[in-house]
Amino acid sequence: MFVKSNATRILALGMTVALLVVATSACAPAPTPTPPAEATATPIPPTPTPAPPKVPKRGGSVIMADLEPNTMNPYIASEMVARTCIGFVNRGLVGIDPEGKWFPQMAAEIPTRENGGVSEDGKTITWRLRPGLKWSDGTPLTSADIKFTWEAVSHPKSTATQTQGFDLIESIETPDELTAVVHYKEFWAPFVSQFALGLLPRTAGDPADMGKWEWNRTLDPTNGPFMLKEWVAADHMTFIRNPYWYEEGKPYLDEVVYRFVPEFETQRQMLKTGENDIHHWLDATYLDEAKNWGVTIKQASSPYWMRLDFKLSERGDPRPSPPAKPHAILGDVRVRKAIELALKREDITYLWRNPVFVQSMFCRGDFVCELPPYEHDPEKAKAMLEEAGWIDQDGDGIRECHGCMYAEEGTKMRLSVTTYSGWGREPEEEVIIEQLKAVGIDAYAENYEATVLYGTYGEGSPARRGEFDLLWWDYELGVDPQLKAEDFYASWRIPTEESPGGFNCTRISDPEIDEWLRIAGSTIDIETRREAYCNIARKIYEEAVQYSVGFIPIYSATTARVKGWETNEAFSPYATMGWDCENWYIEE
Amino acid sequence: MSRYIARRLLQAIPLLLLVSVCVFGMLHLVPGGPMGVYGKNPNLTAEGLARLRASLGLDQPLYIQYLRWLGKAIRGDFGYSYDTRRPALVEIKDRLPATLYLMGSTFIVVLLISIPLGIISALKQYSVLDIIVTTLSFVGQALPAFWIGLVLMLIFYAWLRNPFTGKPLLPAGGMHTLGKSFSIIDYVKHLILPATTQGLAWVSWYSRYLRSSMLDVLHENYIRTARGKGLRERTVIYRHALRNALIPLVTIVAMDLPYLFGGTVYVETIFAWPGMGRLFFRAAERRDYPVLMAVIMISAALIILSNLAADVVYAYIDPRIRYE
Repeated sequence: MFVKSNATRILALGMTVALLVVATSACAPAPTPTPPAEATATPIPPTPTPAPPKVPKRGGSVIMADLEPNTMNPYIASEMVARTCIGFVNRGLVGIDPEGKWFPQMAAEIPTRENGGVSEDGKTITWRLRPGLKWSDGTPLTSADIKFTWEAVSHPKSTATQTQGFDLIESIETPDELTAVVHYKEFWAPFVSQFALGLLPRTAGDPADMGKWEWNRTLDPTNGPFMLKEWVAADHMTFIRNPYWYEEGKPYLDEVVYRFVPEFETQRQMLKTGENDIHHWLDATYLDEAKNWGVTIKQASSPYWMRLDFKLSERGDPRPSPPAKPHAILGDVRVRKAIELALKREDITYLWRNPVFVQSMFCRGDFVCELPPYEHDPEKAKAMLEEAGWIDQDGDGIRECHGCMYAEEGTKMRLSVTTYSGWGREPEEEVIIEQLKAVGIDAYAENYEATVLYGTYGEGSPARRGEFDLLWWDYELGVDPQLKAEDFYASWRIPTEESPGGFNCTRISDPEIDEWLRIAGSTIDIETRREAYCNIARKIYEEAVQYSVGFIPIYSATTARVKGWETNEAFSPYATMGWDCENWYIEE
Repeated sequence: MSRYIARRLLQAIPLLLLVSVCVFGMLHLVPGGPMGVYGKNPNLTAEGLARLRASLGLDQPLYIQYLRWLGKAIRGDFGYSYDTRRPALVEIKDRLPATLYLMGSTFIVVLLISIPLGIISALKQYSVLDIIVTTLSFVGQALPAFWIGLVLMLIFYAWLRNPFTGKPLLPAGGMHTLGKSFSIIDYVKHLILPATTQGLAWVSWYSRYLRSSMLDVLHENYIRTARGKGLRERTVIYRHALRNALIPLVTIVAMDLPYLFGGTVYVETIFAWPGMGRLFFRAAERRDYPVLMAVIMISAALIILSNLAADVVYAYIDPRIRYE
């Protein structure tokens, strides 16, 4: 290029340099996060319990910015944002508090043997509604709506996704408007949660068309503290006070405006400026900065239980061992225990604030099983690997099989660590890989999109097909552990070509565990169930089938003007952010 | 020309059929499927999952699924979204106006800016203005658009304040202020940041293209002849040079028109713009095949039509071009 003058040349050079500086700063790679030498995270000070107000001020509006739900039908919605929105407008027979205790909502009381709500064999449950309940259009909410909810959800063409237990119901009688008698084909331990997700009005439409109901977008009528005034696709929803909500004087707020803002950074900026009153899932890396925003932050345990699953049978073989071969490396319990000794949960979860570690899935509500915390001892891990025949003879830092139990002589100790990408699991996975390498295991990442990893057997989910070595992932536990315990540990829940359901991806097949699961699932007695679950937990722990970490913490933030809210995430899908919205109020 | 247009339209039919087969096949080759979003659902039993798959028609062989889709699509029915259970066309209809508003406004402003910039840049080649425009064009094309969007939001929403109200100078997202009655100013204020983010690369691209095209034309013999004949410089530039320089730009602009339909994912995500880009991204994430097929097939049809429109306009502008 021929430059006409020195001034022009200098100007061109200067601008180019300036813009290169800007551009390279934009392209600078983010620093690789490394775990701290010691845990130095500033703990969140405990939120002082506010003095209960005499009478919260009625009125006002709050704005909540989050993702758009796909539907407002409580039995089709599957994602957390949908459950959050539904919590404002539709409630079930019971609700659940942050401690995992059920409380009656539309129901007058929780059915028990003592109050005659549960038959001797546990297969007949009698629900009694509160008198005087109404839908938001003023029509009575009756037992016929309970029966209709069952008919709709259990219909084969309804496209319902929250089907647990509904196909076990044989019939529902409605002797009067306030009473629904549910007859189960067999004893169903989590019966209390059966209608907890919500109630469908009998005027909503044909059960066969539940997926296409107009009601799914209008919620007209509904029974929650608020009702849906409008849903402008991709823009916002507005909830307004339901005049027929059963608690007098509530909800305190006039309305909640729910804006669809898909970008978390935008949500955070709006929280800082006060344009967004409620920010769900505040990223932990912003906690320190957020203290200067004048917001209230509360932590809750999410329902997502993180753990590292070990593949017990040969990689790629969906069957358990036997008949499949044991995993060449992980088939030996000493190797699995050595891996557990090599890992340190505090380091893996360095991005979590105030993590709560658990040793098994049986750690909440009525079924808490005590187990000793995992030991972290890399030297002991190395010794155990040596004992198991995994020795680094060639000095390259990676162990090989020399007299190991299942692999061929000379096989390198190489294991994949699989997780789902794009949701913050990768930094944790990096730490796991580093810690395994430190004891001579050549670990590497092999990740998939969440939709793929959690997909079905037919859709090629590597977890369900057994195409992994170590699986770093999480699962929503729900409230009653029976369904998930069977999914994870029952031999009949191992996903195969013939039987693709289930999540027993480790492929554990243990007659004792199967029997304990049957015992726990066939009785209403809490003690018996707890004993069975704790036996399972002990066996899983002793056999090192899984390395349990804990529940991903969730941080919710609101502007200081929003009061009366409590987080309740641990027992999703039965409770999320809007679970107590009738108690929210504004205090400027 | 009418015969040419008719022939091209007829050719579009087998082309669209081929596109539909390829797209349907490729979508199903991608790992995962629509049931993956329910993977973590603790309340969905295996039997419930099987029932759900059957009710959505996903238990059928792929060729049956395709033929069913084709049979409906021919009649304008693209099926129901697996995610929302609403008709795919209704999902598109809900979001299309927002996308047309954003992309259409941006497009018009981009043309109004880039054409004069391209002309001036060409006429004053190597001047200070030309260097500034050229440098900014390179920057506009080089910087990632999502970064530009976030920086603009940081500056105009988080940092700068309206001196009279104390509120952010420009809004962070959405099409309008919720709860406020309709106001053109409010809509325009919400448009500024997303349109700037989206338009910067376009202005860079078009102005550079027109500059290059103008420079080629300005050295042509007929321009020298026009000047030699004593025509005013303005007439030489706008009547003779620009008209010829615009020909390739018209082609490019016509082929970019389908973007007005598709929107952009990053702009709509950052600025919470309720448009087609987010719809497509969400459908891709969730393997919502009916919505994906609807968006892709409509886009394919628009691309075919815009190519045809480009050819027709080309023939109109350049009398040397004739189609049989």
